[in-house]
Amino acid sequence: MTPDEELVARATAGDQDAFNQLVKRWERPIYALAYRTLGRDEEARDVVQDAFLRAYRGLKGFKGEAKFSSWLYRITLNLCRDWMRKERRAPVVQTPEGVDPIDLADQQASPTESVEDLVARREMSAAVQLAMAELPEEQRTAIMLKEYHGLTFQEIADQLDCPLSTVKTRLYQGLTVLRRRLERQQAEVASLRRATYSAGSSR
Amino acid sequence: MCDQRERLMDYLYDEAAPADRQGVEAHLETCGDCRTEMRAFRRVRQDLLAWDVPEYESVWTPFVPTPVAPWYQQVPTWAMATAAGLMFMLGTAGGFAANVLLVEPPTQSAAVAPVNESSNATSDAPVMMATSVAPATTASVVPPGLDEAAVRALIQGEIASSGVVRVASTAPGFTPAMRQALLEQTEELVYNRHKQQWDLMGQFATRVQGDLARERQASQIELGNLRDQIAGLQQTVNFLVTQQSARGQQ
Repeated sequence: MTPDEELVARATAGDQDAFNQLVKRWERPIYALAYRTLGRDEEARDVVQDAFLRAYRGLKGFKGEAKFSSWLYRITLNLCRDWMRKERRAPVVQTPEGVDPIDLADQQASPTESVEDLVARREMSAAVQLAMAELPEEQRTAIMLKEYHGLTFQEIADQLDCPLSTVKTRLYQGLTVLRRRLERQQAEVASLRRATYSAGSSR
Repeated sequence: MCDQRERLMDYLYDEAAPADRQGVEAHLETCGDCRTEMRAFRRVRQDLLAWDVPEYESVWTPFVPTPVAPWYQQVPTWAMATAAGLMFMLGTAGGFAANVLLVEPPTQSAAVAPVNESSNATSDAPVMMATSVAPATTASVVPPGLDEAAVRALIQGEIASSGVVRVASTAPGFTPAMRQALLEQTEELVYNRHKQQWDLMGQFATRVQGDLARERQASQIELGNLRDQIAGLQQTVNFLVTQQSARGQQ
């Protein structure tokens, strides 16, 4: 696989196909970052397009001090921040209103995954999304970059323009809050299931 | 409560130096709170993996690779100028050679007369052009749409009216057969020059046609991309308008 640096150099020299390759390589992670930051599919797609357009226009100014991906993450996060500031919105949580077992059966991650597991996975996905949306932005961003994009502490510090120790503190605080919320949600779901089970068995 | 936040994060995310790692492990063996916290964080990390992202289809319209400039635009100006100069010199040299070969000796001026189709029929002088026969090698070079006989007649007319070729029947040792042969050679020379030019023009036209077709295709793709972008923008505008009206209703 051609390294990013080489593709960037070729794209800077005017090779548009090299830039197409960079887009193909990075658009999925960039979309995931935008989606998890904004919680909206349409807007995340717009951000992806905008991010790559900005990257293309800014190629000449990209000196290669950071990795191309880090630069792209920074552009994406800035665009997400702009969007949230402009719309004065917090991330949207797209919680499923009802769980249809037939629909879910089509979405099983693997043939061996039972519908119950799938329901549990969907519930957990929604629970995580909800819990993440309630975090302060700086904690949420730090956790996203670490958990879903595998950046090092130093890379996150560079992205967020803050000291290394601040990154670790934000991660610690974010994980602590998530832990409490997820434990509470799981306890609520468990008690709801118990109540449903006991109501069913008493009929 | 011990304050081990940063060290715990280093350990949790596997970014601790080996010595620090051992230190944290030793601490976890003795500190129940930190041990519980570390276990809970690992569970949270596992839960975080459940957050799905919708299926993603690319929104990026790939750039069309830059079309390569047609070959005739890549030839440097100096090369084109040199080629033009060479062609001119070649033409001049050809004309000069024909003049030298076919000009009448000054002592025979009384017999010199321009030759044309009508004089051929009545004069005793050797016939210049009436019986020229195209060799088989040049039979297939006439561009489509042109009548070969008409082209040859045109060339003969040009030679006859140019004044370059003159009657040379009175030149010493110059027989009518020799003269006829010389005239035919001259005619063939001119014909071949025309043939080369037609060939070159044909090749040029074909290549230009190909380049134009490619450029047209690239333009169409670009136009399609623009249409897609406009449609995308239209969707965004529609979405914003819908949102705005929904907000207004609230």
